[in-house]
Amino acid sequence: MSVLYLMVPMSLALGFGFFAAFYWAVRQGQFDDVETPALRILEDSPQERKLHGKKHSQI
Amino acid sequence: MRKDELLLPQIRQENRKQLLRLGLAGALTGNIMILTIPIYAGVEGLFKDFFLWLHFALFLPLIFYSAIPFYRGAWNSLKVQSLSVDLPITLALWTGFIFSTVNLVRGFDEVYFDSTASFIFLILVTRYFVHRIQQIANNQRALSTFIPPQTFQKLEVNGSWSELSSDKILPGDWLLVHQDQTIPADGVLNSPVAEIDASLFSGESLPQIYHAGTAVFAGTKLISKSASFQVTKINNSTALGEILTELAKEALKKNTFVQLTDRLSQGLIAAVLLVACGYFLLNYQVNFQEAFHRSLALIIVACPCAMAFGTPLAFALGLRKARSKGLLIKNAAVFEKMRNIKTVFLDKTGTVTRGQLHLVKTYPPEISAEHRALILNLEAQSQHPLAFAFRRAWPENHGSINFEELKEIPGVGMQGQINSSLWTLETSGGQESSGFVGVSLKQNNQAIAYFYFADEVQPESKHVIEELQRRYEIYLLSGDRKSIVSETAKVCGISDDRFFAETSPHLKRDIVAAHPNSLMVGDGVNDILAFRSASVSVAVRSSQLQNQNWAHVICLREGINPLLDLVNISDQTYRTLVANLTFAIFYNAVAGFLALAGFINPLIAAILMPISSLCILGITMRGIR
Repeated sequence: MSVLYLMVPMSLALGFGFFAAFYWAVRQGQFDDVETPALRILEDSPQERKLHGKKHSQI
Repeated sequence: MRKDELLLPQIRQENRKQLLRLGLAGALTGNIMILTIPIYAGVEGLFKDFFLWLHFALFLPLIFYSAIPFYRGAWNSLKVQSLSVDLPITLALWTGFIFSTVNLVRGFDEVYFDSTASFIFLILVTRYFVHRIQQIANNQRALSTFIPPQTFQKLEVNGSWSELSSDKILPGDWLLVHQDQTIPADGVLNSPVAEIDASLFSGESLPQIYHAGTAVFAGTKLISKSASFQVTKINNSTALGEILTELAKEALKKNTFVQLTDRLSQGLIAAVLLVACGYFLLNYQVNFQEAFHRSLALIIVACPCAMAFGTPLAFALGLRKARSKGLLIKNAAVFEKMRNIKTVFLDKTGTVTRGQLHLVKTYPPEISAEHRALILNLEAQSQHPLAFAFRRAWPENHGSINFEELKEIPGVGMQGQINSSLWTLETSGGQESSGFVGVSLKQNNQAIAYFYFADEVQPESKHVIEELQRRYEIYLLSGDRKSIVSETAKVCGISDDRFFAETSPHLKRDIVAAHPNSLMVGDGVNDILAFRSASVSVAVRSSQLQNQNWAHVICLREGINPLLDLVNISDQTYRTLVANLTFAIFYNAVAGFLALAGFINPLIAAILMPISSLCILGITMRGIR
């Protein structure tokens, strides 16, 4: 049973580790916006934009 | 628009803090739950003490950090001398905490850190969820859904072009917009001709020909190759931004239903606290332990959380659903008012019909290029449907002519002076029974050409009107001539006694005002007065801008089809509200009674109460999908 004195702090440390990771992610703003980043793929990439730009500015 | 700009910084900070509180509560509750297993499994002695004190240690951050919003809410409500659900929550929390701690120190069995922790966690979860849904329903993000992030080219002072992303645009910038890009700000067109899809504003399904000097609006889309324009207004001061800001401002103003639930839940809190205290005072001499348990269970279980947030949640979801269907609703009270609607008034032109005039015939049959150029230039600045009809009829560039004095005479047409000639483009009565709109071009008040335009009924109007007629009385209101209105009414299946023709804006208002609980659907400036006397007003997609400011509901989809969605969503929202309230009252009554009767101990109560909140969340989400 006395192994509990080791296991319980370890499980708590694990839990605390995950909370620390969560804390970091929240501070970084990872959860600020969970919708629009999924739409980012639909935007033109920078190179493509440049191409378009050149094509049209000659007109 | 970058994601950082979607929310105000302080709101973002607040969201993060709430999420941290919630995350911490979740992590600690989970650990407490696991560490509680040995106790229920029956450990004794030193190990039991070890686990219980561990519970206590893990519980401290919960009550001193995660639960802070409840204390704040309770304190704020006390300051304004009212009762909020935070009060019984705080009371229950601290009673549970102190009770458990005392028992822990004295070595008794009744230690409730586990259930109190899950109580905090579950309430925080529902709160966070409701809060975010409401935020999404009201926030300014709407603007970014109309204007996607793009890069434009900006004309620098030295004449070169530089890249500029849409969030860095400032008033006064000269921008080059490419084909298919959404115009990011209000401005004035600089290129000689541009084809723009302005359907968001003018409702015209076909792209419009714009000439240099015409105002262009944010949210419209460039159809022709590329065009340059000068920015006049950006972000929230654009015409689109103003509408959306107003929407956000008015969306969740307290309406009668919210007030009703507020009053109900306040009354309930007062009643619960009174009954709990009364029960305790009457019974504590008989059996202190039991009396304490039962009153605590009552306070926890009958806390009207579900009632307090069920209503705002239902309204927020209703608004969100409406938006996804292309209906912008300014105030959630619309859902309530929709219940009482008896009569629906439909404006004819632009609402039931396309509102898009096309040139059918002219007299003389051939119009000279010179006259075309004159007309196009007279109409160049105008956003009037006839101006667009002319541009549609003659899309080619006719060069520009400078008038000495160009002015729009409301209700008549355009007038301009060149040298000694006064040119007038005048809407005339035209051929009385033909159903055409007539326009004449006059030189020094001498008519030299006539133009006839016609408008057709929207394809789905008939179906929508049939559907609506099952529930409402439908009237057609129009300023048009009787012959035209009668024809439209016949096509739509509206009987002869149900239309009003040749109505002035004031007459429209009087007709609508004479029918209480009426819904007015319209598009033009001539409907504004009627809008204000109707209990619900809907501006269809083709509406002129100033009209959209007056309407309760703005449609972003073509035609009157969205009306059916409005009716459906209102029904759903209302049904959900009633279901929520019924459930909350039933739950509170039954659980409260069981608690007093001693069937529910504080431990179970602390689980039941958040579950009831989750039930409300479920009912609401299911009711308004």
